[in-house]
Amino acid sequence: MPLNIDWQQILLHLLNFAILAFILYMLLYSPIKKYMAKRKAMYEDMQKETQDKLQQAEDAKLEYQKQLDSVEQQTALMRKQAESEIATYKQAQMEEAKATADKLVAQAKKTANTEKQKILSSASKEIKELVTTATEKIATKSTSQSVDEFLDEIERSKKVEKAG
Amino acid sequence: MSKKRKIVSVCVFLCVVAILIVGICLTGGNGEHGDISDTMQDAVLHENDKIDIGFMKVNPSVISAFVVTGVLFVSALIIRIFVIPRFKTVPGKFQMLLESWVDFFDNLATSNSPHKNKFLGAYIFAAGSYIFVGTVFELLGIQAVTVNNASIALPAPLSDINAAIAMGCLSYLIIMSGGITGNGFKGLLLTLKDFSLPISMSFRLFGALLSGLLVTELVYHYMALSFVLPVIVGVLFTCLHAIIQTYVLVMLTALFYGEVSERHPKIKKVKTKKEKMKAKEA
Repeated sequence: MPLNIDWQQILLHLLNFAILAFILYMLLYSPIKKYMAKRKAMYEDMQKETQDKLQQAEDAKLEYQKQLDSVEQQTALMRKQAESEIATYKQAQMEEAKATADKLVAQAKKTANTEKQKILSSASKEIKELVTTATEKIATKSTSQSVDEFLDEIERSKKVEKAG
Repeated sequence: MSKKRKIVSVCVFLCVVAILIVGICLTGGNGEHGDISDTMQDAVLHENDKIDIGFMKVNPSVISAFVVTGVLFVSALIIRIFVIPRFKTVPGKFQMLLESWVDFFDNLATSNSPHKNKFLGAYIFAAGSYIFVGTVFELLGIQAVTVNNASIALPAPLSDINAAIAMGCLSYLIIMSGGITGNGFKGLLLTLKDFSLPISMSFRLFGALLSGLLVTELVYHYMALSFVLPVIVGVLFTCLHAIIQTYVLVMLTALFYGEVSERHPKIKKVKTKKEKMKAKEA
């Protein structure tokens, strides 16, 4: 054969390589590939698990956000209601206070009138008494003065007669 | 080290080199062993350097192939027993090397033949490992005795035409098997269309490795060229050959395998008006 090509040696090389390929496949390629595939699957599982947990966390966050929004809405509503109630209560209190005040004023006015009437009647009574007393006093004073003057005149005339 | 001592050391070294060169020139004449053309012919054809293995006389590359297979088998066995069971999730340096080694060929198979690659991956892993280790094996220079009682350094297995033909034809058969399993008869035809593939693959491998061998033989043939130069032509060429030829053969095999095993969807023939009319009439 040209170039020293020998079919027997070609077959020997083929046999040698076939055995080598089988050995390498069984001892190295397959186990290493299996290990790598197993590790890849493990990391994929871990990634999937992480993704799931992340998704769960996202869902929980959304849920909590929703709840938070709902609570905020309820709070706003309750605040509004409370403000409304407070306003109503304030109005009622104001009206009641006003009514009480009016009542008190009316009562005070009434009491004041009564007192006034009392004071007026008492004053007029006192004035009457005073006037009476004064009149009496005036009347008494003028009478006694005349008597005194008469007596004084008599006494003076007696003194003049004696001196005289 | 003092300056004086340094000068003395350099002088001694230069003297030794000079003595060696003088000795080489005086003892060997030109330093040639026989005719260079005979050496080259032996390196290519192995007519005079056959080795007796008991029941037949074979080329040295057959012995090289057996040794490489043995080395790979023992290494694989040791790795399988002592290393693989101790693999960690976070790999160490050696585990990383092994994983990269497998992953490189697996990725090559997957990227070139995405639809069908399990067998291809295993084949190119074995072929790549064999070519790489076989080529680097040449560097060891393991000696063997020929039938003529001459000593010979075992060459790379694939620097022999028989080994290269075996590898090229086997790759072609693997490609053909991929075509048949992927596309049936059409795959077979697709593979046969590239009938020059086994020849080109075989001779590419043979030529590339033989050229390295011949250059090395040429350099070693002349004693005067045996300084410094072998480091470049011997080690660097061999290492580059190992990497390049491994990549070329496995890449070509994966590429052609992927091409012939790819399933093409059937294109529906658009009916012409006449055909439609005929069909209606029928």
